[in-house]
Amino acid sequence: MLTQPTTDKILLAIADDLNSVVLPSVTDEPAKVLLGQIDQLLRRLSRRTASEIDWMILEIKQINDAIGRETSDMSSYLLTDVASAYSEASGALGEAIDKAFSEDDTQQIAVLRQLLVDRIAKEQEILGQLDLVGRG
Amino acid sequence: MQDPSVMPEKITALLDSEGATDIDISGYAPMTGGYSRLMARFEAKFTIDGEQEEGTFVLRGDPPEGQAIIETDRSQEYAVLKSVAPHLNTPPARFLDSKGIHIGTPALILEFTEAESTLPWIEKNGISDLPLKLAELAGAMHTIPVDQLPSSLARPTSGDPLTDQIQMWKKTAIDHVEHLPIFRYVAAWLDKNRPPPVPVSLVHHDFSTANMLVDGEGDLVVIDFELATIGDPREDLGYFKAYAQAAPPDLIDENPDDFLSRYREITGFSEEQVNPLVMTYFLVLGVIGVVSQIANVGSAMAKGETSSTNIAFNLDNLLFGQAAWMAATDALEAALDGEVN
Repeated sequence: MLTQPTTDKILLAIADDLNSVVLPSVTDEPAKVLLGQIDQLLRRLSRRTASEIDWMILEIKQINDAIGRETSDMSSYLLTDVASAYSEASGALGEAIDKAFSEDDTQQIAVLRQLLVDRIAKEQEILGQLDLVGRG
Repeated sequence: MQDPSVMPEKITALLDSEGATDIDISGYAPMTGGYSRLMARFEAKFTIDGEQEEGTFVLRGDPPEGQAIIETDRSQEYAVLKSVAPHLNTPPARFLDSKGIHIGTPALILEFTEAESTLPWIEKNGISDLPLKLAELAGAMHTIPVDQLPSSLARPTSGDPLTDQIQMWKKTAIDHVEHLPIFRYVAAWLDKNRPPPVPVSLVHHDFSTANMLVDGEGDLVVIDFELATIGDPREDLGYFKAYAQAAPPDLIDENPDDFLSRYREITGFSEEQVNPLVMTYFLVLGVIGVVSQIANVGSAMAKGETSSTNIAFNLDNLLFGQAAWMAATDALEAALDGEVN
């Protein structure tokens, strides 16, 4: 298969063309709003697709370390399989959060909170600038 | 609703069913700005109850099945608009097609207002006295007697609106297509740090500059009551602040003391019940109504039950929100620990 240009670069090129070629020729307001949304989504997908599997695998290990679980090797690197493992680890993290709050374990709450803060930093990297195009 | 060639006939049929005569519909054009519903404006001339009317109206209806990012009820929205009209500056609702018999989708017709969207108005005119007017609008909305509101409006099932909202955070985390640990954290944190209660009232649930206009007198006009319920009124203040983080300016932050003082004066709430820390608490709690709807429809898209760009786009709001909620809980922790005033 051809891997170059990578998916993230192609998505970015599509977004650029939509913005510079297609958008100026569109006069219909709802269609303009839709193009504005598509532009933001494509740019986010470009950032996300370049790194998401690596980010998820790394975070699964961090979660397991924080809640005292072993991290087993991934049996598949298909996106759906990694996302499923990531969700399972996130569920375990959620359980640990509930337990820490119910036991008023401030030290563990701080540890788990830091995992969430790290997750948010990556989410913000994906999100970039949010423009609520089409709203008020 | 997007086809101007067929809509005048459909609107005519709806008005005819309501007893209007001599109906003439023209200038039908789709509008942007509707977050969850399709909207269009049109000119209408008709006679009803012996009175001839002529003006601009707005048709507001449900998108095609499976494409709505939020599921709400036009009949309830119509009933809420009728009940709040004597108390608030809001465009009157005129006609309802509750089942979409005439329009092809559940829809209502409102009078068009010449008022301008709030953010463009602020760009041209500055903040002016909007913060105080916002306090008065919120106060007016939150002091409408509950017994004058439609009985169909959802009320707290547990008897306590905070418990209901916290439960919704937990339920959204559990029901979503993937686990949401940040939602679990927020729910646990909200449960641990509850403020003193206030009496329940009408809650708009999408109380933001996106749903406000400024009229010719410089007064705020509030629109879009599709998410309204009975609940804790401070949810609207928190939601307003949360939305303003994504779409500034935050009118409350212009002068929080003046805003809160005026709001307390109108509502009769105490300083313990409504203060900057409590508002920050509700900045987090108050968004869950909209957030849960966005998450639910995102789950449906992930399962292949529906699909649209708008759904995917709105899911990104959750990324923005998660950062804002965690930052708010952090700021409140510091304040409650006495690290800041």
